[in-house]
Amino acid sequence: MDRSLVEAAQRGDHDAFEALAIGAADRLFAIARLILRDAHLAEDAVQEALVHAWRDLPRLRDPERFDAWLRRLLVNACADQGRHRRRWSAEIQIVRAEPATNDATGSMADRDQLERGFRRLKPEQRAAVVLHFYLGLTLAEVADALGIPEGTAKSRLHYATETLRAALDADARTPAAATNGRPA
Amino acid sequence: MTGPRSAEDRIALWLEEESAGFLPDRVLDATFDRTRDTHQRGPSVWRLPSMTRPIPAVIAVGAAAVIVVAAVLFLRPAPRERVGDSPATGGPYTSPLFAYTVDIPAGWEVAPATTPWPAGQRIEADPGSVDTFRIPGSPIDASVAVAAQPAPEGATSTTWLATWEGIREDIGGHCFGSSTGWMTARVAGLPAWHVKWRCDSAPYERSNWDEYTFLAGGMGYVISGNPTMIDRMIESFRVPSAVPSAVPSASPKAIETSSSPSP
Repeated sequence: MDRSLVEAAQRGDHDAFEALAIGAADRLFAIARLILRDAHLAEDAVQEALVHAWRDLPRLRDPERFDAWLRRLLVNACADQGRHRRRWSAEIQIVRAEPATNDATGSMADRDQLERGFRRLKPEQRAAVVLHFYLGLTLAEVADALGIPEGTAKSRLHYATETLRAALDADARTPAAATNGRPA
Repeated sequence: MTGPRSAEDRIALWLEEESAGFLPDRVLDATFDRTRDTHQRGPSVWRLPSMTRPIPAVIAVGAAAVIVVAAVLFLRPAPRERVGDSPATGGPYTSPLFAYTVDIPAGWEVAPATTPWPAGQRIEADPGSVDTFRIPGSPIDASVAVAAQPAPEGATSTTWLATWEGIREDIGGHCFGSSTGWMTARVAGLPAWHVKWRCDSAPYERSNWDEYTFLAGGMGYVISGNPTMIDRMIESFRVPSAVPSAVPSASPKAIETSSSPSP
């Protein structure tokens, strides 16, 4: 993140803002898609977050916090998408045409069970998982991004991790589960 | 294959695999079409005391000053009595638009609101709709904003808080500190709500602010800004034809805070 770009954008320099947005776009999209489990909703969330960012950028008090601030806007936008469209949970169908050729997760079963476990999570729990396990944020940083106390972030992350762990454990106990009961 | 890996590792790997992909250019194009047509919000009048760095603070003060001066010069068709405006030696200030009275210490400046604050409107929509109190020369640009808008008919202290929460910005937001959440308080002897925002580290202390909101005479009042200034103002804050308090106040000048759930 280039501080001078942030400061220029805060002064209304749209080109500077575009440079910041382009630099952050793919990362924001990845986060939103992971949380929302839907590419179209994720596109909308990113757009809303960026518009919000442009509008409120003069109010960002510390340009060094631009990335964290933008993450918070994105998480809020994801929550809004979910609230408005009521599509937070299992009704979102993810269709995977074919498995990745490099199955780094270890097995399709892992993937299915994690997907299923993830869908059981509330959006705020999903956000905590993505911020911590995907972005590698610390608990304090997760709390920062979600605008919640660190203790709350810790409990959300703990619950979410246990839910996903249980999904994986269920898979280990019942291999057939990988092919049964996939959400319609 | 999954045996040696921890659940956490497997989750991280799965997320990494799932994250592949790029934001389509059309989305960015559409975004920039919108942002080009979107005006940036100026630094909030409410949050003006909480700028964290000198340069943006100067910019903010300059912008706010321009707005206030422009509003005073151009928006008002004729000079209006500015009761208590900028008392050189201190004294009572009565808000022309919001009717409250407060004792102002010597040296404070007051920029009275020039337009009413319409019900349901965010305060940022019109900086001219707040009374702004400042301490000239304050190293942290200390200021407080006070305004009142008509409350919904039949509003109670609790429903007014819900109304106000629906209007205002989220608590905190930009300085990444901690908020107390709404606490009960009393202002001018009336039940009130109080929230404190405190930034985490010393460089951002100037971002600290307090906010009070309460009902009086069918109006929803909001006081927001520098905590020390607000403490001073609250001691003498008074409103005409106040809504009778459900809980009698021990002292109209006293302010008490607690963490009980409702006033």
